[in-house]
Amino acid sequence: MESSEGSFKKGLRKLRKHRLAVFSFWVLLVLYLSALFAPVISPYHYETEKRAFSYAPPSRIRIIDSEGNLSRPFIYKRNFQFDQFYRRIYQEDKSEKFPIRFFTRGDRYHFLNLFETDFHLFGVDEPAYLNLFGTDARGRDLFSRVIYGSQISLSIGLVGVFIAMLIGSFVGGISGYFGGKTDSFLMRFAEIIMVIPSLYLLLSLRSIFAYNLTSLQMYFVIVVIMSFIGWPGIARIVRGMAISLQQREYVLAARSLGCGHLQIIRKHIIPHTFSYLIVSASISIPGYILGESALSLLGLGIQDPYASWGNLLSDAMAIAHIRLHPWILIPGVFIFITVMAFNLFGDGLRDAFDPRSEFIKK
Amino acid sequence: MENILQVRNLHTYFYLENSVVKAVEGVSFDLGKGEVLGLVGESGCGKSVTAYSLIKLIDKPGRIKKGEVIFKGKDLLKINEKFLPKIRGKDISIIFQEPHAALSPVYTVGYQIEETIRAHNRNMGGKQLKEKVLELLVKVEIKDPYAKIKSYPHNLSGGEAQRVMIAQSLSCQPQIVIADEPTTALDVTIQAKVIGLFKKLKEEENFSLIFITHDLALCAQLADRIAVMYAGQIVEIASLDKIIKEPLHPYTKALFLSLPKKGKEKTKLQAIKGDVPEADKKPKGCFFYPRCNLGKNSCRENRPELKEIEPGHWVRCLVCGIEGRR
Amino acid sequence: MEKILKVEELKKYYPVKKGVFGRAAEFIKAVDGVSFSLLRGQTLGLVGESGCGKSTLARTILRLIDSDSGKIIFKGRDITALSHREIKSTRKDMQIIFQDPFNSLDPRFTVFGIVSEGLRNFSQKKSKKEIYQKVAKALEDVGLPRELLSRYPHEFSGGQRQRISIARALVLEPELLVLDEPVSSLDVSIQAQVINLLVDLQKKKNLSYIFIAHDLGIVRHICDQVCVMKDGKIVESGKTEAVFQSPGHPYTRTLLDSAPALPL
Repeated sequence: MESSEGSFKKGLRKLRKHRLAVFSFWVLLVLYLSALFAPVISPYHYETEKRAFSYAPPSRIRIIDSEGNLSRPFIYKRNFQFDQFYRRIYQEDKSEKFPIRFFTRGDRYHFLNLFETDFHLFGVDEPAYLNLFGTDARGRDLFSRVIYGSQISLSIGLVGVFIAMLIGSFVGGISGYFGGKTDSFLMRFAEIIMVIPSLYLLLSLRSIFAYNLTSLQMYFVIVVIMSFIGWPGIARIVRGMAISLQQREYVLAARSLGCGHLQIIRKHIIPHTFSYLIVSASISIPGYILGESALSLLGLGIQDPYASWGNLLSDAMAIAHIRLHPWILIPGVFIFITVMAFNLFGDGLRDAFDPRSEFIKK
Repeated sequence: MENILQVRNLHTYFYLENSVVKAVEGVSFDLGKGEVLGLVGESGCGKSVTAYSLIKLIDKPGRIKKGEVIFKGKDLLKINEKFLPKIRGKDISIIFQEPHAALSPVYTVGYQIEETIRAHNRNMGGKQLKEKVLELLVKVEIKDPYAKIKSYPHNLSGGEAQRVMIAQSLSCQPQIVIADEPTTALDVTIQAKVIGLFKKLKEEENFSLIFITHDLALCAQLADRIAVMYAGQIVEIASLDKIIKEPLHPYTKALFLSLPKKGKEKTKLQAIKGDVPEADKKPKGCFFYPRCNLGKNSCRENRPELKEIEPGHWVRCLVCGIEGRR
Repeated sequence: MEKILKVEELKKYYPVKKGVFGRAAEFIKAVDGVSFSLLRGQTLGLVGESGCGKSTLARTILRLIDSDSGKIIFKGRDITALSHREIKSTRKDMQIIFQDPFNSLDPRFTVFGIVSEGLRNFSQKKSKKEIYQKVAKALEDVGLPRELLSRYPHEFSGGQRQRISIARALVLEPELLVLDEPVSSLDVSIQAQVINLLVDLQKKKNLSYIFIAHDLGIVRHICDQVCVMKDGKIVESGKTEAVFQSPGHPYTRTLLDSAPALPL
């Protein structure tokens, strides 16, 4: 068998050759960085609302002004009129240019709870309203809300997977190592969770918790629910690996050296499943992102005014809205891109590190 | 004795991602008609790779770099690939170490032997085939051959499965049989019986046998001549008698000396110092030099050639020619 | 001389076929009423073919597997009666070396991690420096330089790995060492080195060995006593020379006749 180091380098080299995986990796990196720097990147705060701009379409960014001269990117201020169905029709007021300013000042925010600032990557002067992705019903900037929302949607996947892996590898390790009755009991329990359709399980678990929670509580409730649904799958596979690892002689040797059972599981069994766990994590993160979206879409997850990709999409539940304001589907595009990127990256990881090959060789 | 197979300067390399493993580096030997040649060496010395190279059974990343394998006047390494399957299994057959891994678990024993026969004799009828299979199973002295025809490999013991493998390899009257550690996976008592079987079959069938093993003592039960391999080369080749009674190469000598001897219990064994060189980190000069206790300075720089020191006794050593017998 | 180990009527059965209600209907008698004793500083050979139960016996003696009945009296104390907690303290005095050095060292640990593991389990109060000194000493005892402590198992050859697993056992200063085919997976030219090392260590540290093997030549070379096992039972036992010179049981005779010997 290869060493952990040697095979790691080899895997990395293989991964680099996997073009789609490398591309997906960069996409994910950009997404996560923008989530981290969300308050800086988004021109407005997620709560900033301008009722006058309800369902405003995305701003047109121009570089040629009305006189036909090339200029720096700018937008026009928009005004609306009602049409005969009492719908707002937005029109640009071409009298004054509002240039897009970079490294500008805007809404105040706490950056990572460290310091307060009003620095933004870009923005426009009042009274113009820069909406890259348009606005929602209450006139909040959708771009800012999507970026803020990625903080919740992207991190829930990571945190959820992490907790599910902790539980899954612990239960799977115990189950496979001890075998017998412990094994049957734990695995039957895991199977019970697995056979319930996950959406029903998600909803019924959600109903255990109170409806009106603070956003932070809600976040943790969602994470707990999602990992509760996620661990059995991991546990079953870790169990299979543990059964095969438990027969290796170094496990017997560890016992004769006076190691306790839990110590053996922790030091000699679970570390050998890491390569599998990492691959499986990257493939299962999309499930968590989609789960959060589903809960929030149904109004059971993250609540307004906080943004997550799921609750942003809940605006798009009515066909009439989609037809009139198609830009409210943009959060869905982000979910799609993220899910695809994770899947492709996970595929690449699996091909490169192929944790099962370790088992075939032995 | 007439030679049936001549191997000349065979080189088989494995091209790995960042190294080239020179598994076989210049192996040459002759195989006489009806002769048993023992190919002895430690794991990784290239004995199996040599055998597989003879019938071009080398898969990527391995490649036969150069050399000749002359069988019936033709170089097997140069003839068209599509003729090889006709030679493999018919003229030259191979017996593997793990019979259970070499037999397919989903077909009956009888069917698998039939299949080999059918592949090389297209016009044999069903009844004739059955009789032939039975005859083969009787020949390899399997117990209850009628029942065994219909049984699956997992119902057989290791010894029985190896007998089936032997029957399969003999099914087309091969001229050369290559046995790759055929008894390593078996228990000693079974091993003794299988060796007995080989002795009997050799007399009856008159094939030439290349017997690959790491066990010198085992090889001595069967072989007419023994080739000792070390780090991808044959270091000494001679008749059984010569190898056992008057070994010349320091490695062969040391191997004999390191074995436990009767009457010297609880004493120190004469171990060979050091470790087998890794296949991609072989010494510059003689491969055995770092472990040799006769080595001279010239051995460090120069690679010895296989020289005929006396008729039929070839040794690859710079020193033992000068030093003579022990 | 003191009897370090005495095994009486030891049995270990494995259920194979399950009946209708999950009760075992048939058993494999892996160890079926085995008795023998071992004197301090001596080597007992356990000889037999695969499946005769010799490895199971070894693991049962160390209580890596629990026996079904019988006694294992180690240094005057029956260890079959000990609880799992109590057994931990006797583990230090009896250690095992496995056959396959590629399988018995955890590939994710460095040599230091592997050798020091037992030490850390048994002596938590020892300082880091003391542990390091002991580990380095154990490594030097088996003929490896201490510079290798930070390497990983895959960087070593089979013989060196077997030395590492011997060091792992020795660092606990055991009195009994169970050697489960310690050289049979090693190259011929390496076997003698490891056998010499084992014989040396035995003399130096007054160790007692249970030596499991199928190579009769080596057994004859290093064992004082020998037990021949077949189907879970000991069919013959006695002084090595006596057994080899005049085997009493027909199976022993078959075994001796089957072993290939050089026609010297």
